[in-house]
Amino acid sequence: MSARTAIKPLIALVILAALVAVSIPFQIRIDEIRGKFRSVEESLYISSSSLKKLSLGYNDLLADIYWIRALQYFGSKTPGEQNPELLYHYFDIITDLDPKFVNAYRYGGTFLAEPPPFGLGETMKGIELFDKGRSNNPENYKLPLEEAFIYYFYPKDYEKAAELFREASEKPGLSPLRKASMTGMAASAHARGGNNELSRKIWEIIYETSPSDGRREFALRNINEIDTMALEDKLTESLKEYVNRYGRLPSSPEDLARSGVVKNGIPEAPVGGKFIFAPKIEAIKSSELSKRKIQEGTTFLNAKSARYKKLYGDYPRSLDELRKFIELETTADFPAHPLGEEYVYDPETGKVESSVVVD
Amino acid sequence: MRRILSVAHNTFIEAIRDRVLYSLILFAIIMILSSLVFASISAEQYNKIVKDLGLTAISIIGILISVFLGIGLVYKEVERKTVYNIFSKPIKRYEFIFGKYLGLGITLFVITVGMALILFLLVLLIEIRYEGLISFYYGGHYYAEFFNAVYFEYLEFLVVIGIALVFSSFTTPIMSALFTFFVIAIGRFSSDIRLFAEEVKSPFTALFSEAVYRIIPNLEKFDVRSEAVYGGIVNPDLILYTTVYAVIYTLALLILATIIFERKEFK
Repeated sequence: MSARTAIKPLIALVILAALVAVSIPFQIRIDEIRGKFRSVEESLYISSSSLKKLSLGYNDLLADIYWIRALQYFGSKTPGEQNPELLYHYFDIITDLDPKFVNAYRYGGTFLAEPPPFGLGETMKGIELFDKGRSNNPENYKLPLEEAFIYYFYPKDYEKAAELFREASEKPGLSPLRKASMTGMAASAHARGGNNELSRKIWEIIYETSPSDGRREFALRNINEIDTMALEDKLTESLKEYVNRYGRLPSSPEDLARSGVVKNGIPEAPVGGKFIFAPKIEAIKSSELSKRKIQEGTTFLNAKSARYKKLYGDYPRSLDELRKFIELETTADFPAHPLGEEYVYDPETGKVESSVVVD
Repeated sequence: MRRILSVAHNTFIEAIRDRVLYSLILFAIIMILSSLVFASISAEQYNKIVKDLGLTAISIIGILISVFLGIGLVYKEVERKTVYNIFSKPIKRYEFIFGKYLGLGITLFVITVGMALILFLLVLLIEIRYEGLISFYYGGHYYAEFFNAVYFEYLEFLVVIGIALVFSSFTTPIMSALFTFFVIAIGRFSSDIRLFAEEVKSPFTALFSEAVYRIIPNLEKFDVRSEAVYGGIVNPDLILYTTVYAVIYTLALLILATIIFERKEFK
């Protein structure tokens, strides 16, 4: 008798588990029909004031929920699928619900402002979020500091960057070292505009303080590029000294090293690859950096050539025509070849390639 | 006073035997512990998520307990007719009301302290593990502000018990619960009423709105959860004034409940 009564709840549990299991395929099908993140897209139409009312005073928790949902939504999409308007709206809501959530301004502003693949390239939207953060958190130094980075790297507005570095340096509670460092940044941005020394310092701070691994890698890549460029300049100086001394170019970078003009031999390039001669500009360049710049240049030129065809029905007839189109009809400049060589253009296919291939 | 304490003691014993209480506490503990899961997917905002979710859990559960146990404080005794037994002893009606209130207030105190300690251990665990990160992001640990936030939440519970008790003394539990939740919702948006009073052009409406603002419980004043995460001004003056406000308001509610209860006739 007792065994019988013991079996009954067990059977009930099994039936319950079976029913739950049977319902799963239906749920999956419903998700497929309705879309997994339907409610996320809907949040575009919800204002923060109505959310505040709905939260019944638990604004901070609602901000956290939106924060996590924003991270999940943007983490699950590729950069092309991400909607900048939705991202801005998300961070606007989060910071309306919790105006002191400094990291939301920092993440949101940086992600919006930075160019792909690390951001969405919506610089002004990013700046708008930083401005809101500065106004809501007037004592925080990180917001003006990071907004200065944005101004410095992307719109390249060095005056505004200097103003923001200065603002950051005046915030309370900074150590004398940090204060001095920011004042130095302000002076450097103001006096010399864009310069590698300041750029390196900024990337160093981003590397040390960024919570995101991807962004840290990006910062490290930039630091390595700047260090490599500094070595390029140093080796090019040595090359000039060699030419002055011997009246001819060395046969190879090793020859330059053997001559004693370069102390301690040819260094390793922090970005990898090796240092090569660029005879047309009489300089020493990093193979890896040159390869990257050639890649960027050809990608840009091919995109502009395709754009030209979309507007005028055919590819430009020559590289000169493409150059004029870029200079007159876009805000960008025609990219210089990093080794002083030429770009080769095929009017039939509209494709641009470098005249030299770097290994 | 001895009689009030005796009623309070009985109320406390009765409350801690209530199954609803345990399910709510369990729910609060699950919510507090689940903050660890949310924190792990929050892009390093561990401290904020654990504190926000934990303090909100304490607040929601505390309010639910205050309402659901508060609305039954008087009604149950009347319904079960145990009130005849009580009043056959030398207990005055105000002593009964004050005793009931005190009993539930002590119950809430024990529960709040328990939940706060669990949450604090969790906060400590997170803060020890990610000390550098939290200092960098938030500039401090704000332990005092954390306990102030819990204390302010407890003051809010005390006011909510008073509101529930007032309704419980003249209407059914369902209606009491509804009325209490309405008053809580209005109290949470008291600043909107104030804003309305400041912006409205008609002097009569402005005066009326101002009066409503002064009369309704300003529950917004008990929310310093944000300071527990970011730090901020929770100075002794604020603690003192908020405590005095809660005590005066609760006293007014208890007097109102007593007046209503005094007029009640038991057949």
